[in-house]
Amino acid sequence: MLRVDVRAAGYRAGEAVLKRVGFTCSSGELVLVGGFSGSGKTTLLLTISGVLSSLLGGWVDGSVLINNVDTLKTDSAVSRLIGLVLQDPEKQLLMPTPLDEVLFTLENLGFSEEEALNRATELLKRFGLFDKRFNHVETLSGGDKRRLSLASAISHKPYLVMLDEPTASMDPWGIREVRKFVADLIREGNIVLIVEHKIKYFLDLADKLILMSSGEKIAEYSRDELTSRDLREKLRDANVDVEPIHEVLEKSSNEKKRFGKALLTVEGLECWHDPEKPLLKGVSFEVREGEVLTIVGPNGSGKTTLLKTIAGFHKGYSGEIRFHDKRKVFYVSQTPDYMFLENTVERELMLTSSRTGISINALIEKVPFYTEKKNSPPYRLSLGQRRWLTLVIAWAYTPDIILMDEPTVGLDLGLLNTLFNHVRELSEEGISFLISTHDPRVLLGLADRSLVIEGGKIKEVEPYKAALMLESVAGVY
Amino acid sequence: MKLKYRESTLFLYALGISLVAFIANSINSIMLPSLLNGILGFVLGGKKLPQKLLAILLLLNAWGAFLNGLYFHNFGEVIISTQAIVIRRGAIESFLLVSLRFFLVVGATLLMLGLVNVRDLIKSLERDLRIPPGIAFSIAYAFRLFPLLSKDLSEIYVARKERGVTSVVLKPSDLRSILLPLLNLSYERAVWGGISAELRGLRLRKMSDRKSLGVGDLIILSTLILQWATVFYPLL
Repeated sequence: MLRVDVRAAGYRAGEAVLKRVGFTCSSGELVLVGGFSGSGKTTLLLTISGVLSSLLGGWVDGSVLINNVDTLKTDSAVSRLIGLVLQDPEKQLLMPTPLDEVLFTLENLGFSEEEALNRATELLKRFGLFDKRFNHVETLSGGDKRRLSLASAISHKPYLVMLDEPTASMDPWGIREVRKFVADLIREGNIVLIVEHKIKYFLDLADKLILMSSGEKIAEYSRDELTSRDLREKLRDANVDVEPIHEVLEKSSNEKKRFGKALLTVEGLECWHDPEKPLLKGVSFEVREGEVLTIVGPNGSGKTTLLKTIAGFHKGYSGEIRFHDKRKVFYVSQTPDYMFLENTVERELMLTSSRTGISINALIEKVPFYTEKKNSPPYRLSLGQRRWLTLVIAWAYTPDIILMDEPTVGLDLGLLNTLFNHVRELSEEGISFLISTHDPRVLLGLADRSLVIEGGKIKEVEPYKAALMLESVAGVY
Repeated sequence: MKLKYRESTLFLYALGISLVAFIANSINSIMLPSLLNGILGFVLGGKKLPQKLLAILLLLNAWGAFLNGLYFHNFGEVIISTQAIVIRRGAIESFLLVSLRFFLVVGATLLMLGLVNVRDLIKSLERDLRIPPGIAFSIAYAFRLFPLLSKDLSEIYVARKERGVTSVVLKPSDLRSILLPLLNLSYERAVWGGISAELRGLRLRKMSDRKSLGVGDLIILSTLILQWATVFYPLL
């Protein structure tokens, strides 16, 4: 049994980030915690695990009981009771090889060398990593890293397993794996707690949904209530990402639009990291003025490589990349922080202005949070704000085509809609977008056309159908 | 027969050699240890760090050492004279000294990286040197961050090219604009890494019994003492 009764909690004395959050759940149940960015979901997770008060110097008024053990009053039992899967495996994985990674937890918790090795071997086999157990973590694919983070979180058989935004940077193939992982844990009698924007991916497995806003629990719904169509509509209206694409009507944005002249033609492109194993073969397509074109495919299928090749940063290719005018593309990375060069938003815009000749006022006009955040480091902005700032910087360089790599990772529905509005605004000005994504929402909300990568080849698929395909892979369609 | 040694002995060796780099101030005295550790380190441990990161570190060091020599030690007899620049003996000597120190530190670190496994290093630091688990873990985790730093660095260079900013570090502001994103990302990773370690029971680790010194340890420590002697004996 998990019983959470937090009256208030925060990182600094007197500043409550969480207020009045309470719920209970029993063995074999899944609790989903939803809400916008900044609603206190991750803080709740840190509170329950005891990390907020014991490691981060924060405070908690209340109690968290896991099988009658108060995680806020004891350090020693918490690690044995809890397993945590972080949003980004890069941040969770601590050791150089998969075997070391799994053994690390077991050694910490005092397992004998023999038992630890047996358990690690069994887990690595279960997660398909046994043959790679001595490989360096950095040589593993994104999917392998994700599986390793799951394996290492449950190596000690914890009673409560918590997952922080498990679908944030994951393709539908990975989501399907996590859904199976969660279903197995529930069947084995564990309690699973998932903090997630895209709750639709776990709704059919959930026993409870807790909705949070501004650090407070604003609603709690049981399994029976979650099946009600009325409730789903209410949640959707409140910008909660609750419904699979197939339950949302096909949008008018997918209607055929007229676009301007062709800006870029790609013909017979082949890309590789190792010339003997080409990642992409025979890729041909065209980008027209004002068009939003998406490239869809699993992690590691070559989406980023394709964008970087077009941007001129990846040299391992053959075939033709033809710009009909002067080559003017701008590549925006998946991680916005790479783009920043200055330590305040104001200086960042001033530098952009001096580099591009666009007036500082024109730039400020594009940044709605400028007055409030002009003296903040760009790294301290919210993820949505950082993404928008990179897009403004890209716009200032007056490219014909903006290449965006997974721009929706970590965005809640509210921030996603804001980003979509900005992209539409720029595309109406005539800027084209080539967006790599595995997010069905981008296909439905933005894409004029979509290209799907399959086995190294590319084919055009109608965006709505591509979105359905992704939802089907994830297991919600 | 495989030579057995404690990972902590290699750690002490790397620490002892780094100490030499900080204390020694003559080119002659550190030339031999620098070459020895530099070559051994790059041969045995070079593959443990991304080659690109190593190359960038070497370039950054060379450029920094050159500027330092030029601005603060450019005195003595003229060695190179062009219309744009006059380089004197002091600048050359300073450049060589800083570069040899760098070689010494990086070489010893690479040597350690090449010969130890991170998880074994944590165990050995706790067991043999009684270093608390939190500190032992932090030391070992730093090595996990190197490949990530390299990946970040190459992405930062991509973004800099897009923005028309130089990739060559000419001024302190160039260095700052590279380090800012690099450190911010590393800091965030370190915070979450700490949380991950804590929740996986780092605090509960029990120290096992000390291992006795083996032949390998004695060889490593003797090599360290020998190098200390060559560097510090002339100072006495």
